[in-house]
Amino acid sequence: MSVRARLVFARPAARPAAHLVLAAGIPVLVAAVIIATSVGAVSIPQTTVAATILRHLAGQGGAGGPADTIVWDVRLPRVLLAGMVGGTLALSGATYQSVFRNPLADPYLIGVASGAGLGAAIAIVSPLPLDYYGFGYVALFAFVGALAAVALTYELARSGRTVPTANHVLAGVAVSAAATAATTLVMMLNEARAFVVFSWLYGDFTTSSWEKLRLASPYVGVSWVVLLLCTHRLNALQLGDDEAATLGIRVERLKIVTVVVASLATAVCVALSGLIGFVGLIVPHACRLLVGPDNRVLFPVTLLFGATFLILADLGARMVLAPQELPVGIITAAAGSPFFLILLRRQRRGLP
Amino acid sequence: MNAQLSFEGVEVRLGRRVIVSGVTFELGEGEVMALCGPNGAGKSTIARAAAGLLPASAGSIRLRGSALRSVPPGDRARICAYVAQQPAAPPGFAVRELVALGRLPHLGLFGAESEKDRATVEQAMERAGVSSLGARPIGELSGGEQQRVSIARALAQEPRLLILDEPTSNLDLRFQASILGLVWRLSRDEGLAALVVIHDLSLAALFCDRLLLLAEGRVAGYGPPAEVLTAPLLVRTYGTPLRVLPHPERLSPVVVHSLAGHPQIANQGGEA
Repeated sequence: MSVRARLVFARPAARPAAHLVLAAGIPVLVAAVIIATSVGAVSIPQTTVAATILRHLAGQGGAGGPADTIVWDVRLPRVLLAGMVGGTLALSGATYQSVFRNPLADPYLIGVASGAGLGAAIAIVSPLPLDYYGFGYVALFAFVGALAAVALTYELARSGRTVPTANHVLAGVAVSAAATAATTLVMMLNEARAFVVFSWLYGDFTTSSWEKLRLASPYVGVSWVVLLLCTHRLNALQLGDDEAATLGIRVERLKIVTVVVASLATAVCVALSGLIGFVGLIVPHACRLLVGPDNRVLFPVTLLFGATFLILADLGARMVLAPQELPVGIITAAAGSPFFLILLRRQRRGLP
Repeated sequence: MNAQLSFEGVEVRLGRRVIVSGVTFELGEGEVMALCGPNGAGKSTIARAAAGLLPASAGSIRLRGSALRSVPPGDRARICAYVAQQPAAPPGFAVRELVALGRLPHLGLFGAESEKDRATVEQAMERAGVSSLGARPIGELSGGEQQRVSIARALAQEPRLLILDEPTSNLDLRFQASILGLVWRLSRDEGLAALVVIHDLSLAALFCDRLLLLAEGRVAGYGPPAEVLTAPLLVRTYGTPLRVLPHPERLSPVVVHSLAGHPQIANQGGEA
């Protein structure tokens, strides 16, 4: 497990103070929102974007005109949705990494995302009405798929009353592979809808709307609150199940609650925007390198940076082949993997 | 008497296998008790059961008079701290961060630490002799240093009952004495009760008030070290020739190997 040993952290003495990272992260996120909203087929000056958003936030309504419509009705929901999904996927990834004490755990590795993907693919090809396309049956099926994958992975990995980490990850890989195969089968059997499934599988923010945001935010918001409230307990889990238990943690309950909540949050993200890889793996890692392993700091920082990362990735997806759009999952993979390798190499050379 | 921990006819099973049975003892405030015995005798099982990690399949375990299984985990954690035989060294944690995890049972809903929490952490690190390591990543430390960090973490918990599973196994002679001396002092000065799993019978005799000797899951001897550590009992329990001598400074037994089973070595030594 030399890889595992290498995934270490900034030397404690070299870490910037947590509140500085948070203080710097918020303006960066705001800047990302404004820049991402200003760029598109019609370029809108950033000052206009900022002014439009502020006017709406102040409750003065739109100024009317095409710029207002583009900023407020078209682009901003998309940007905010990307931010919400990015933050949530990153937070879920940080949760899985912490619960399974495995720096490589993410929504993909333990089968959750693939299970949600399979559920959603079935919903898309089924003859069910899809009135709220992207958040009706698709969401429901994604929920079911995600939870089925979590439960199946957990059961497969269970030995007696405990779930060894290695078993869990192996079972996750198996469940993930099975779900991916089944998704492919679903697509092959329904050629007519295969392209819809395919483009959605690789991440899609084109159907964003305020309506979608409104529908998703209660679920996402609750999951954020629950996970952020569990951070100090998840810290104790790093000592091992036994010592965590003697620190007063109900270990199995904590694991089940956090995994189910993170999985539901992942399913909401999958239902909203398809499968977007790497966010849940890369962002928590990068943040851990920056602020260290204390989840009380790591989780909020991860949420913030995950949102920023996916907003910029979606911006990239819109810009690279403009006016055509790329699936955002391709951008996150393309940006994520070299970034990951650079982090690994820097770490090996002993740089913080 | 203020029993912090009591076992009465305790049996513990792992699966269907009975690991220990008929274990009865009482550990009072300010007492240090050693758990000794050959490999596989069930020492760690008793320590884990006492920490609430394994249920008793028969008999009763009581923590300050209440049945241990009915004590809520949070309350239990404010009374009893436990250090495993091989404590985890989670990557990335600095020593101070790891010790601070011991404050968890005392933190509120949001897990924020107060000044008092931080002061307790510093004091615990000082007592365990790891103050100078505060900013070091735990993964870089030696086994003995990690062991002392774990003990500091347990002390930061401010327990009334401390359960240590082989705390001295990775320590050199100096730290063996300093850790056990610390436990002894805390028991005298602050009334801490301690249950210490330990292989070294002579060390146990020096630093512990009472000794429970286990053999094959049953109690072979229980009482003050000087009463339990007799050559016939030890030879029977460990199945190897041993001799018991008096400590030169104290009325406490010292256990050494006898060469009775190794005549060649004995002859070479040229005994007078």
